[in-house]
Amino acid sequence: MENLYTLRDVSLELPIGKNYRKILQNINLDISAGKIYTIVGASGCGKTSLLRVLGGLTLASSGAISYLSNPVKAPPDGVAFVFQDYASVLLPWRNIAKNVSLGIESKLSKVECGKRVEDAIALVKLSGRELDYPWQLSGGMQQRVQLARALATKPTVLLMDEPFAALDAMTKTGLQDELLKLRDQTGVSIVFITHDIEEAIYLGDEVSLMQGPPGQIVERIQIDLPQNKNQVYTRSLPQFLEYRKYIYDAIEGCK
Amino acid sequence: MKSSVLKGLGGVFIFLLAWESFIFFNIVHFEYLPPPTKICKAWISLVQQQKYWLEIGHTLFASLLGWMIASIVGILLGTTLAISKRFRQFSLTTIEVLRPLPGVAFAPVGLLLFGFSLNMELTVICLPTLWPILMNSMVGILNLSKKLEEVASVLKLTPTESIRKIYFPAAASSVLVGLRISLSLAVVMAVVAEMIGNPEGLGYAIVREQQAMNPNDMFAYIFTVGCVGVCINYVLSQLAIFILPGQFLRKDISQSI
Amino acid sequence: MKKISNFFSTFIGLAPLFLILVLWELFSNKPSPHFPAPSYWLQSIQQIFLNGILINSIWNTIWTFLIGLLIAASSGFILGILIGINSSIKEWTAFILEAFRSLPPPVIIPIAVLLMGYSPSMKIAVISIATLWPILLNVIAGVSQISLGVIDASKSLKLSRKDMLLKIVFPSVLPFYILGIRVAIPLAIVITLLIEMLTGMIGLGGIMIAGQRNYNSAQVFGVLVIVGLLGLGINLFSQLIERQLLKNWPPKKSL
Repeated sequence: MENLYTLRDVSLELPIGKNYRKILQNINLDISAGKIYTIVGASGCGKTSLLRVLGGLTLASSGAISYLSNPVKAPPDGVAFVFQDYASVLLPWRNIAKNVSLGIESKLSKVECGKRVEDAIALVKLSGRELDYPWQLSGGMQQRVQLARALATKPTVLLMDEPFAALDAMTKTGLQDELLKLRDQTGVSIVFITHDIEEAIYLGDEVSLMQGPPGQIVERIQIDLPQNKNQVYTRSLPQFLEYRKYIYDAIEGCK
Repeated sequence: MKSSVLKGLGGVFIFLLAWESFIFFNIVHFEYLPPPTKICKAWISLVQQQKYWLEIGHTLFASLLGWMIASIVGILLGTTLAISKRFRQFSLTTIEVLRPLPGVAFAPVGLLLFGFSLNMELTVICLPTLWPILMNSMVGILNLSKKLEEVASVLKLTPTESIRKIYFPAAASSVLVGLRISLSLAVVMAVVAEMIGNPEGLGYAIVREQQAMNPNDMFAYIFTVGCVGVCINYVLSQLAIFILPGQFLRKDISQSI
Repeated sequence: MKKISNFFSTFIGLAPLFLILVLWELFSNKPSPHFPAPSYWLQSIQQIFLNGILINSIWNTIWTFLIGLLIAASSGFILGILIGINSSIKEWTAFILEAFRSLPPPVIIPIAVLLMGYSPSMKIAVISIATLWPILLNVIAGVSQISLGVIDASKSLKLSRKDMLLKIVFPSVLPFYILGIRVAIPLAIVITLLIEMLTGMIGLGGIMIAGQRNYNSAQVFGVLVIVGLLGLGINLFSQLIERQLLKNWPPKKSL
């Protein structure tokens, strides 16, 4: 299976005032198709910066990062980004349908664009709300709109920055399951950042533990859980609890 | 010093330099547009004359007087409007109709009634200055939370006491913002009134120098008016911080309506 | 039903005004030089209406103020966007713009008279320059408040630079632009009238000053009412346009 993303010894330094601060240090990562990668770590360890480097929004200072064998110098085609603060990334003057079409409307014919928007909205289960405006929707729905906007571009990789952190528990678990279904339906790869350890284990095929600053991936854990996931059942499986204990201890040990 | 402050000052310097050199090299040639250096010299000479300070004094005096009148009326009316729903019902539309009336339109009225005098200036100053104070007082009090009303009734305060002890201090920050805006407005209206009518003060000085074709002095006076405005604003904001440090040290106090 | 009660409450609100006018009419010494009764105002207005001066003056006032405003609105928008999106230009021009903003608009008039003489172009130049500042500064503020999240989202959606300008910057700035124009409109009226009063040029301000010089107080008061009505009309009209243009925006917190 071909690697979509390959990161070798990627480091990131940013100027803070007069000095440079090391944000990421020697990151090594491989992302392949159709899998969900969750990255978990304490606040401030550099997870968001890593995602931004993957997304081409921040350029790595050293090391090699390539997407489909091309070095990443700008947001790569086929990679979509979902931000944590959904309220400030949706356009308040456009309705839902037009928000979802923002990324594709200049690139596709009207007919094709309309179909993609319709499909994307259906995937996130917001059909019927196309003419509403973001401010009329709840937090969870707004985040789904952002997701639909990303999906409308038919991405190969979906980068998500703590997308469900600002939502209440019930909305969150609902969206987690929808995300799994999405991956099964479309085969998209997902890189998902979270500080919620259980979410990381529930969703991820591979969990990367991040520690920092400066951000480093201290361990990559392959998750082997039955694929028919269920919020109550899966989370009470003995393997789940073992992973959870392991990761909690690892993070405690890092501190 | 912060780099943005330096750049801002640099911009001012470049602007003055460009102005000076465009005239020097005859790139821009208006017969009555002097370069900054000449304006500066004219200003320095004016500063040493008594009449200059008397003129500033007159404009300030007229503005302050008009502003005080407008403040008293504005706060009284604003408070009454806020407290009495009945009064609001009967007056709000009138206010909405009168508010867009430009203060400058009262200049000929003032001239008719009072000729060239301080009273004419006051006619022009008072009405426009009234609105920010009135609106800010009214809105400031209307926006007070219901809880304060309950406190007043539980403590069994008389209407006068409730106004004095609870409503007024709570609304004070909004009122102070209104007062500040009004004073700056009052200065501008005083200058306007002096330009059209009363032959005293800075406004008259500007028009006088313009009609005498003295651009150097005219620009110097204009510069003075700008400075007066900036100084007044600065003094008032410092005063506001002094009176209500808790609320005005925050930098996000919204301006008027 | 609601419309009738709304109309009724507006009507009641005008009570004090009607009261003053009625009392004035009843108690004034009819042809007094200082406080002529409202009926006399009507007479003198009729006079200048019939000999064509009134219509001509209203027309002059309106068209000069509109053209001045138009020039300010277009240049303010373009300059505001150019300065706003370029942070270094913004820093260099910050103090200069603040200095020009602190200068009371009326003092521009004597400068313009000296440099350009008495002409309609002088009038329009002054109105344009005076009304430029609120529009320009508001547009610049509008650009600065565009959230970085929206910019990041647009980059990751691979929006072209042209699209970013047209689809993101322009709509974001629109509410601020309109606010600037709404501040500029009464300012434009004031400056127009002021120029006419100072120079005696044709216009409503001109008739007022002429009336004052001829001790024709009825004319002065009559034209005052017309100016008031004009100001009111323009105010209501601009509120209507604003509501129409911003109908897709989330509701603002209003008075």
